[in-house]
Amino acid sequence: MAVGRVRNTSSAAALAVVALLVTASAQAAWTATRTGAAYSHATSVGQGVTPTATKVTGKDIRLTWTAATLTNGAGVGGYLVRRYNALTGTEVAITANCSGTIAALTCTESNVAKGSWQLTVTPLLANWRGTESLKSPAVTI
Amino acid sequence: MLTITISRKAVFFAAAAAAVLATGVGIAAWSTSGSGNGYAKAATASALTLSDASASTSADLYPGATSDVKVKVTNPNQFPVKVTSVTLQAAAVVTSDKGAACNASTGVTFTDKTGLSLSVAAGATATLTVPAAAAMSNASDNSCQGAIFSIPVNVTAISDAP
Repeated sequence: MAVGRVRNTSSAAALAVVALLVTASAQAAWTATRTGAAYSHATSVGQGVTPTATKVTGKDIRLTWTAATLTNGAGVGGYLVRRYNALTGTEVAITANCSGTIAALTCTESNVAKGSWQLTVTPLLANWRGTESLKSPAVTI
Repeated sequence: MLTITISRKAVFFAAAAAAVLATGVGIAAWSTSGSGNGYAKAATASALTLSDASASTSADLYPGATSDVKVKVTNPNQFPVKVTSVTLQAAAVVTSDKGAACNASTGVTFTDKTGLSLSVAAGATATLTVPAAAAMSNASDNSCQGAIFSIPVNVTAISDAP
């Protein structure tokens, strides 16, 4: 029977340390890093739903609409209302109650000038804008 | 009975040789690839590759929201690996397929993900989902609607051999 024997204990300890070093180095080699790209995909804002315009008093027009969504179904942040001359198609300035970003699904324009008008809504989310709705049926003041 | 005697000098040279070998293994692993490996095979491991995963994304990122990101990893080795982290590269710039206007203000940020356990089988290509890693701020430009964003990342993997 063959038996290996190291001459003294200090030599045996040195061999053990070396063995540990080799093992540690090899295990570290299991892990490594690779560069590349990850990908993410943005949704978009859908088209506004055609609103309904109603004359509520002598010079007021009430506009209502249903909610638009992002293409993934999430809600939008608000709406931009626009008014057009029904005869010429020219856009005119909207009055205060319906200007800016409207978070609700209705607004009422006051003291609207005489004429025949059509209105639209455009969904918004931060800087994103959806497609403007089709024009509402005309309402006459 | 046969007795083998090893002198102190022999032990010293053996130790020195082993240390050199250990260093060599470490260097070889870094230069070859970046892919994990069983320690017996580290010097011959092949690099993982990352490729375009845009086709696997779903359009769900928008201002104020977070979304998953996709990473497509090919493991050419004869052993499985496990992706453990996906982190943003230093000085990384997120780009899109929508051009300069969107790229100037994507609003997209990436949160480093560690502690992952995403497996790629031996010789396989897998599209991995890194959950909730991307976020979009309100600064995202209007032209970024529908964009696919490319986010430079570091992918760390380890050997997952049984």
